[in-house]
Amino acid sequence: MTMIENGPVPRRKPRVLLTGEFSAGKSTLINGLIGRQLLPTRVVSTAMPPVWLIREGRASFRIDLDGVRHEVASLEDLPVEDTLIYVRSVEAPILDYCDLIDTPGSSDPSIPAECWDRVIGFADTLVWCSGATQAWRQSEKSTCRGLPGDLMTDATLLITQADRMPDARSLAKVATRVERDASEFFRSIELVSCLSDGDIARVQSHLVNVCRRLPRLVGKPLPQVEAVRDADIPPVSRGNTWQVKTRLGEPIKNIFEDNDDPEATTDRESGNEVAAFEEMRASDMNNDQIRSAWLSIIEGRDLTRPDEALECLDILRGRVPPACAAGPAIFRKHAKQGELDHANTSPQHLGGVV
Amino acid sequence: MTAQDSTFRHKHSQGFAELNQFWDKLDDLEATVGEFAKTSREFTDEPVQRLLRKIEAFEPSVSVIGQVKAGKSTLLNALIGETDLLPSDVNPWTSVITNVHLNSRRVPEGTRALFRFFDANEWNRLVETGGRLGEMANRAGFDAEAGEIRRQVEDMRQTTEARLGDEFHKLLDGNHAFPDIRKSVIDRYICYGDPDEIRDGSTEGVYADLTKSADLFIDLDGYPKGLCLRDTPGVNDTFMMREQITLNAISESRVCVIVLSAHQAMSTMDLALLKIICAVDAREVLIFVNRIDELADPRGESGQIVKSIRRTLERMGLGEEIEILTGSGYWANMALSGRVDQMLPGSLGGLTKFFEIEAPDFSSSDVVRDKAMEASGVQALHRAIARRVVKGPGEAMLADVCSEIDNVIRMNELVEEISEGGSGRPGRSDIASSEIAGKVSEIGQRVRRQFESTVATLRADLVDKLERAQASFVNSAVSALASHIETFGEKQTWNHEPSVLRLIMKSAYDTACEKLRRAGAGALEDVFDSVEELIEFDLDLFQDKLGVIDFPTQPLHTAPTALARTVTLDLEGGWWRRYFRNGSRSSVENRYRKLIEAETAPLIDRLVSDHFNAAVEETWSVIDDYVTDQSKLVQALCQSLSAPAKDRSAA
Repeated sequence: MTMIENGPVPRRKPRVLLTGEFSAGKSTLINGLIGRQLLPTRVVSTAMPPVWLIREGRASFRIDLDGVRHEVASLEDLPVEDTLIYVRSVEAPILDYCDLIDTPGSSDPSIPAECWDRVIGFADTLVWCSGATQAWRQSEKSTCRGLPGDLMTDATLLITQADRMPDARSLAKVATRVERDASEFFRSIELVSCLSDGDIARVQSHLVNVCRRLPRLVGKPLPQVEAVRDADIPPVSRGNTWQVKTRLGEPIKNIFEDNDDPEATTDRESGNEVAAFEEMRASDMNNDQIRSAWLSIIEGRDLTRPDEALECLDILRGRVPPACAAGPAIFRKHAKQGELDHANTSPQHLGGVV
Repeated sequence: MTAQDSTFRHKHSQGFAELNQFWDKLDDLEATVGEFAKTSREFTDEPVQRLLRKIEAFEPSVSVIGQVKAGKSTLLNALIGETDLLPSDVNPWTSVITNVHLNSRRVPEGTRALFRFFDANEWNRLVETGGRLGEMANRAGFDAEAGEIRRQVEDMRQTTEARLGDEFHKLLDGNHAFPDIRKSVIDRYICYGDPDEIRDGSTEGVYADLTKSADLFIDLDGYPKGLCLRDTPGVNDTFMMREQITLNAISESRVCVIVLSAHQAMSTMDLALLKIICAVDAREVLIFVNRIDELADPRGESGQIVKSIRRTLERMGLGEEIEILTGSGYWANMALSGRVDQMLPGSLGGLTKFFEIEAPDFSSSDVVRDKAMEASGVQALHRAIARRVVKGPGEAMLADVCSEIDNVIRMNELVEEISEGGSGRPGRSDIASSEIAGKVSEIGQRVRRQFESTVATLRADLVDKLERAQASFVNSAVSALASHIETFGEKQTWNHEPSVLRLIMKSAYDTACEKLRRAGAGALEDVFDSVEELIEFDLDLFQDKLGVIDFPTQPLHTAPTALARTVTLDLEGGWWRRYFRNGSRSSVENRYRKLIEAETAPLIDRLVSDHFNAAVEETWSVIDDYVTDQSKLVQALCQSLSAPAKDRSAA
């Protein structure tokens, strides 16, 4: 709350830990979130140490267990057991809002559990991925129960690989069961297909939301990462200098969503700025004030691009009173029938490297 | 079923060819025994009947085990070509062990589906303490899990009792039998329904909580006779009771098929399961990586999966001989039911990719059908299962039957020979057969006394060894824990394998069983020698007439899976780590000591009082049968010696 009450005071960038059992689609998700094929995605467990993705600098180094930094030229040369974490700079819009920490899957017999354990302390919040076809088993529950409470205050469960379910009814059945069984651990539970650009966009907005509303950033500092950040303070607006690599066709959804009002859905589909203004009405600002603020922000921006739109909204939200900005949407609980666009999207679309 | 379908089914069943050949052999033997019984002397009736009963009862079983949603029920349906027999759902609802008896010869009168319920005691214990699992979690200080299990069971009790009302108490301890197998019936018993749907009046799963086991008897032309396939609830279910059901049942099948989902093949959970199965029992294990139809590149990725599993198994020092197969129960079911046109686009895509090089004409649904069957790997699984059943229990059975029938034939011949006066010596005809029978029974009693005293010593030895193993494990675990906390604090994973203890206990048990086998052999030899003496001196016949006798085969005793705890407890994950976060070091040590002691004490108790004693009983019954046979033989000899005398006096 303090952040919002004082306006956009500099606060350390939140860190989102993405985790789950191996082969739950974490790497595919992260590649989708950052819009490029950075992490290897394979059907067998991928022997990667934890990866810390940041927006700033040009880092590609690993920190070993003694805290010594080693430059890394290629991901192929990453030892697993001796690495605390691999730090990598990536130009991705989502990383303007938070850092992402990827972890090796738990329950992977080829990766010792402490690889995973050691980096938990750096994170502020957690996203647990569980593949839809075998979602939410006792081993996952047991692991979640052992995680620090601070990390779990606003945790998200993503039921991934929704595209592997035969039909919408099956999806709903799985969602119902998992919700019944996992809601004690997670504030949001969401079904997604990482092959769907729309779903990826939803996850991006959700993460931005979660990061905004985190009351406290509990992660402990890692000096080597902060050093990279300090050396490279990004300009406020980079505009067209970005080589945006996503092909996220859909406008950003959900940022201000707090119900499934069909009207709001229509609005959202016709352009996210409308959705934004829906929300503004509740605030102390009048519409004209908001409109003029908005117009000045979006000048020269391409709002069909989610990253740009997100940034604009962010700026706008920084200017509006707390009552409005602090009222985040409750992330939609699960996909409604027919809403997933999946199946025929080939994996390449994900990264969509232009 | 169309003619085309039945041709397809016939082709499908050919995967079991080796098993069918085995049954042909066994059938021949059985016919031979039957023929022999028609002409043989009366005294052989009992051993012959015993042998026939043994053949008739022979039903090798294969358990299908794995994590929730690995596709066990689907795969089992595919194995027998009954695509809709066992229900499967996107959520894990299989709750009961289902024994599917193929072409069984021992179908209960007028029954095709039999569901047995818990008895009142079992049910009360379950709901009061959460069963063994709840007791264990409670003892271990895993309050969260213990509480959760209690909650789960309490919920289950309330909904079940409310749902069934007055019927509830009548059901306990009983069973329901049905003259045919209907899907709506099966769904009521062996599958938990979705709680929301049950509230809405669905009858799916109404009896599932109460059902202890299900037996389905199904006759399928062309498939092996006397094969039992067992579907089990998945392990790693958040409803923890189900896992316990499965673990308790592992020991009942010699052949286990571990089903993995291709999406996440061989996690620490699967590995823990494999360790339990492999470490505790020398059994035949097969791994089937299921659901490959859902992979983007089923052929290429299956190869990677198999390689990765091999690497993991190798690193863990687990059986290199474990065969790993890949496939898809779904493809097989689509092919078998002729519904390939309804195949999910993803699976069809996978199939096309699978035959990328060959590029068959997929516009013909017959081609799709054949190819789906080929790629499903189900026939390869048939062959692997058949091979293991034949090599394992099958050949043991054949050898057993052959040696027993040889003995009976030899005994019969001997009596024939004597009665035809073919013996070199006249023999004594003045001994009453009752007198001779009394002598044999004395032999039996003496042997029994001796056997029992030997067994008492063995039992005491076993208890002593187990207790020492327990004590030394507790000490080493606690001191290892102490030094671990010293060195790493609580952060590093604690990993003191319970499998070490399991291994020691298993070896103690195996040693005791080996000694028991020798004691059994000694007793058999003793009976043989004493009876031989009787024949030579009391009946005054040549002693070598009995020739070389094969002693009856003693039962093989293997360590039970009672040694296995739960898969979750075996893991080094959440449970153990959380354990260290509470309390001071000395209290952690203390609790740990108490935990292991409390956990292992009932193990020792069960190993000795249930398993070892049962092994002793089985061994004795073999000896006892042998004594009975020998007694019959001697009496028959006695009668045939006196018969001519009677004839004379009658004349």
